[in-house]
Amino acid sequence: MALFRMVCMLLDVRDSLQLLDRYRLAYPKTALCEGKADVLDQASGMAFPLVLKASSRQQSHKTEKGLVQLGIRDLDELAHAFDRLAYKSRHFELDAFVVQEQAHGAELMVGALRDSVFGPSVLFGLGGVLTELLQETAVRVCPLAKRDAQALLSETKARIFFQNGGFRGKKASAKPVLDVLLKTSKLMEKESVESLDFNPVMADEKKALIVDPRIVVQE
Amino acid sequence: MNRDFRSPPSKSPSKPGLSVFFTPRSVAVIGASRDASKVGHGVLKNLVSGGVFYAQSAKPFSGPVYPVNPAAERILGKRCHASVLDISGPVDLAVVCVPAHAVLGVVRQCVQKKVKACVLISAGFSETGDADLQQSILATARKGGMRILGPNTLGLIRPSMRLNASFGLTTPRPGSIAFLSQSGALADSVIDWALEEDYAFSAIVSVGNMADVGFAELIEHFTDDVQTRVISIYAEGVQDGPAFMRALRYAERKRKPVVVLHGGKTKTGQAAASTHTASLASSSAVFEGVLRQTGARSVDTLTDLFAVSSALSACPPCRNAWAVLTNAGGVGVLASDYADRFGVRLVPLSDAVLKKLDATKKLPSTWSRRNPLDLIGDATAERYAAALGVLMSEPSVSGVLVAQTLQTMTEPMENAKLLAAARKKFPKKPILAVFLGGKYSRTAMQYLNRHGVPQFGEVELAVKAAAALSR
Repeated sequence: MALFRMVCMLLDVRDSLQLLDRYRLAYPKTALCEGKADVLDQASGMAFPLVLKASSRQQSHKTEKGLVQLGIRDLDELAHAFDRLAYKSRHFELDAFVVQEQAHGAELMVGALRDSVFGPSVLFGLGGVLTELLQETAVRVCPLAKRDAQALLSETKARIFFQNGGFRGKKASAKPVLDVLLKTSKLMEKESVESLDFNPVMADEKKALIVDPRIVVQE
Repeated sequence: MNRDFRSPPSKSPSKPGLSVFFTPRSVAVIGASRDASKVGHGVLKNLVSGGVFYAQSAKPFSGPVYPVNPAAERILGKRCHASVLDISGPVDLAVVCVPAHAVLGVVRQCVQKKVKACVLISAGFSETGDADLQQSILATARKGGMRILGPNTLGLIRPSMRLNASFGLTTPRPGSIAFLSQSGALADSVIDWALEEDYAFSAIVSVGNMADVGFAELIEHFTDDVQTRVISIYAEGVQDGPAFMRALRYAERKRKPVVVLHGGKTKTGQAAASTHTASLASSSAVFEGVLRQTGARSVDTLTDLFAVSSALSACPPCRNAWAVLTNAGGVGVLASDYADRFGVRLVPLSDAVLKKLDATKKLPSTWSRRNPLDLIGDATAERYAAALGVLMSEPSVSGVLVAQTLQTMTEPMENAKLLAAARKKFPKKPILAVFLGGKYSRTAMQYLNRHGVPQFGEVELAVKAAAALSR
């Protein structure tokens, strides 16, 4: 039906982080590196445990392909992790090696899309692998009012993390997550972003950090 | 922002409103047919008699009805006209049942005749691929200031005006539910069902392809309609998302409840919907989000749609603080389970309330002494009356769900009468009735329907209705 097919492109990690910066969307301390020396050098200014990722726009599901190493405790482990990732990714076109402080907390998902009828909309739900399994996401159309963002937090099973006891020792406070939702709404209204996926957003009682942004823009 | 929040957002001085569809003084049927198997016959019959099928509520339209058919002398006792232009008196509403290729010509004539609104029953436009023809028709109508419902619609029914401008089977009772349906055939079955279940309507509108009049404008129209207390919608998709949201927000501000059954929630359903109504299907999660964002109530089944709508049409919204009154422990347990699932709060009964209940001296020593309030199987109407009296005048209880199972000593009619009396005495406190049963409960159920007490065949439905009433 459409005469002009929209050309969409996944932003690379550098442009993604820049866009997050522009909207003051928080992510863990991150360094984008070229090679092993750079990785080890950058890590010296960061707090362990760290995460190392071989980032490529051509590869989704990095974890399943062994392109992510979590829980790196020291420089030795980091050097080993680098060698392994470099080997596994030898056939891919890499954007960068990403060194990141490892975030902890409840795994949440914040997403956004452009609906053909209602326009830009923000999605929220449990993060990690559970997002796909549960197929339970709550949606609000942009612009989100504060009460819309609050409603999102209570509409899915993810609500348990914001309740008094939390779940399995993980508790999140609402404020930083509301902040992510409202800023995402603003971003969707102002930028030519077709869809985005912040999964997981790691939330605890102080902050909510976007660990792995996937942002698709209209070219 | 200095927008006027009191007037409907779609209203504009250049576009006439929708009132003419529902309050025409005269109606022409273009493409009226002598053949009883044709749509053009059914529409005419509905106008001149109120229904093709018999119903007590079906009455002839009170104004002039003009059949248009160049080949016929008279149909159903009415003199035929060769074209709409040959009618001597003014025509407010035209119902068009000619084949698609002839519609544009008919619409031109209607504009020339200064017809105010057209119901285009004819099918074969954007839903089957001919979107250009639909556009030309719309442009012609717009230029002439004429409004269009459809094409590809079953038509519309306004029972209070004795107006049945549709090929629906008959006219249901006048009431306060405005039902808007994106499926015409579904509306048809709903009419039959309504006769059985005693649902009563302020209007039934099949929206068709929504070339001109769409959900948004209809929601605004019925928000401002004094007869309508609840707007019930079967929707598969909308064309103008922002206008739809503005309309729902307008209804929310005016406190007119809107209940929506969204068809096409799954990929399979969406594929069926796209060939059915030619509207863009949103992702179901987005549509659901829109409903929540705008304060509309979303339901999953047709049964739920009308159960919830009938409760909202009969009762005012209330706080979420319910009591359950029953003569069966099992019903109390089920009601508690459903209450938990659908977010209905059952209030604990305070000592003061328990004392008042004891003081009636009508309850057996074995009564439950808690909410759900179990009056025990041998409860007579007298026992129900005593307990209901206390609950209805108790401020901590905002609504009462009254369940009855049929035992040999149960008095269904007496119980129905006392519920109707309580409904009258406490108009601000909802009473929802569940008379579980069939054959020997039917008369009492009908009595409840006719006396403004919403009744449900299932405990689950009543609790869903309680959830919809709780704000």
